[in-house]
Amino acid sequence: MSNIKEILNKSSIFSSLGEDDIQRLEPFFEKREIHPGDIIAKADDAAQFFFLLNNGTVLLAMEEGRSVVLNTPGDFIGLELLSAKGVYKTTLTVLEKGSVFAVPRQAFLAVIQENSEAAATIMASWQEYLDKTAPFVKIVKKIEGISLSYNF
Amino acid sequence: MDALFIEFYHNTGFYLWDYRYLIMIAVGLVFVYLGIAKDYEPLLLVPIGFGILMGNIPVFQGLGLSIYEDNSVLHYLYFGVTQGIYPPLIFLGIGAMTDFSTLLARPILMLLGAAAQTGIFITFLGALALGFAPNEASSIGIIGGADGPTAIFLTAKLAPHLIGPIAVAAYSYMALVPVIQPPIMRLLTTRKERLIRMEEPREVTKREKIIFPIVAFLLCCFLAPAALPLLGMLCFGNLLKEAVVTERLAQTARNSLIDTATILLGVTVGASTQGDIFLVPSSIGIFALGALSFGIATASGVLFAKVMNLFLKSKINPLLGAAGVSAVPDSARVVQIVGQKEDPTNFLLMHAMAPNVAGVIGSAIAAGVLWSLMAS
Amino acid sequence: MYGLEAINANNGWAISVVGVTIVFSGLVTLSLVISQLYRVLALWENPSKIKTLFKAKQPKNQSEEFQEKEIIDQAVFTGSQKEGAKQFNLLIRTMEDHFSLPRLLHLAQISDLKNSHSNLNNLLKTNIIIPDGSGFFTWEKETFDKAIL
Repeated sequence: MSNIKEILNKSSIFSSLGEDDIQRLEPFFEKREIHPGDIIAKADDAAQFFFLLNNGTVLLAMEEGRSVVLNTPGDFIGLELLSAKGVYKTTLTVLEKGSVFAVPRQAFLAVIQENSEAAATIMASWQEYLDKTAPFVKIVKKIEGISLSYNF
Repeated sequence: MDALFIEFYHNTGFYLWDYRYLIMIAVGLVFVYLGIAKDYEPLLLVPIGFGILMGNIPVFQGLGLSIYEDNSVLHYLYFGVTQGIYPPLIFLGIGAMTDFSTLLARPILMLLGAAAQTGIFITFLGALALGFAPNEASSIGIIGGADGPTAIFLTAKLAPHLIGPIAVAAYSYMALVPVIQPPIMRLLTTRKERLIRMEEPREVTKREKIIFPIVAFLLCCFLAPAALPLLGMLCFGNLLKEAVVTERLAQTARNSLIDTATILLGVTVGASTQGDIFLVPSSIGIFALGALSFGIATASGVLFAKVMNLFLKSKINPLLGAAGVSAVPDSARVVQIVGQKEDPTNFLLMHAMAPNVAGVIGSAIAAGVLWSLMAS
Repeated sequence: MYGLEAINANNGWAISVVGVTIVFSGLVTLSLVISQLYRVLALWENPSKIKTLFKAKQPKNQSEEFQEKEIIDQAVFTGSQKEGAKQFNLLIRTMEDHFSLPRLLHLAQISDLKNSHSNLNNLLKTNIIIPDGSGFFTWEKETFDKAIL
């Protein structure tokens, strides 16, 4: 599983983690081959996994037709980018052949919650990553807030 | 106590049943099955199918249960059909989800939409020949427009007693477009013609897309004012979409509004097909003429495209004529599939959308013309 | 009354001819007006177009130019990929300037485009389709023309 260690070290979200934390996370990741057309997560299905991109390209389809294309090794497709309240809120479609590392959602959340320092590191890195990858996620929420209060 | 049970039994469907209700319940179940299991136009067939089930439960008259009783809930909901309210609301939603760019890029394809509407008038003649009154024949003819809301709107105005069979015929044949059209298309075209590649359409500007619904509405309604309710809402919906500043209204029109109107229209039209009213000899005539109208409309569009090619330098693939039948987007998709069978790299779908949406305008004009001619 | 007798008695032929004529007239007139609309609008927009001709073109950042050339040089499409790209181009024309990528993919799939996922990936890699930063994407016509046409 040295490959997963490499990817975790490459990933902007996990690269700040200590060696111990990486070793604790490593066993949960399972490598899966992906092919063009595969749907690896479907909106409204129970959210079972998060994904770490090893190589290839995936399309993350969100609400209102918005989407994000992820093709950098180490891209993490999880947390609020992928799911909410245990349900996938986006659909992940594979555009280019490659592989991902799937980690069971519950296991991942349990591991990072066990160690508050690691959790804080991951969440800080995650916020930066989300700002860079899908800044409109926050923007959409703001617009929704405004339109709800609009009166004729 | 026995008398009470007996009285109760006399009010149940088991006592009041009629074989005609059972036949219609079977029809309703088939519609629901086709919609859910086979994915044939589920947004139409499931509400209509379930409506048929609702309308064919034998009920005790006087309790305000049947759709034909003045004080029933279904009757109040049916008001939107009989008064022609739901179809224009559906057209509002259709306008808000239709992109007229391919039509604007090559306006000549509008004529294919016009040609396909001759099916309406030929079927009108056929209905007259079968002994239907002119207003009934007009309502039957409009089935050939392949436009459910238009068919229901016109029938509500001209022959409300035929709404049930005409709506069921119209929506059934719309769902069967992929079955009805291809043999006719292949019969009337040569392989060489089916291989014709269309020119790439020019870019259409935003301004054109905004001006089009206004111009189309003014022109067509000045010519045929009776088309105003349907065409007006179609063009208004499209303007809401293209104007961008009214995107919120366009979203409502193409989502919750059209869905609400479709649900109420489907269920109440289905409920109106009570066995004792629906299963009459004239319904068979309506179904037969409905199939004929689709076939003639397809053939007219294809043949007209071939005629146009005699005068055009840049030829049109005659398969596009079949897309003039305004079952959007199914007939355009049929054109794509038939074309790709000959040449997998020939991509006709977007070109076929032009006559497809022109057909919607054409069938609305035809309905307006028939309404005003029958009224006069 | 049935058959031709019924048609004659109810003025069927006249109604049909009038009806077909009106439908055709309406759509012919509309198509004529629409076919000239873009020319009228072009004349209307002309003054500002003339002005832009005299505006000096801003020199591009050299490294961006180099990047663009690099991307274009990398954009070597096979025959079937070019066809795929052209088909996507046709689909794009029916969508807004800032379009939804999942919707484009869906349209490509229902239109039975071959290898729709791979072709879309090629367009993304060669920057013919680029993100606009708000979850939607735009089509780079110039890049497409250079790479495909």
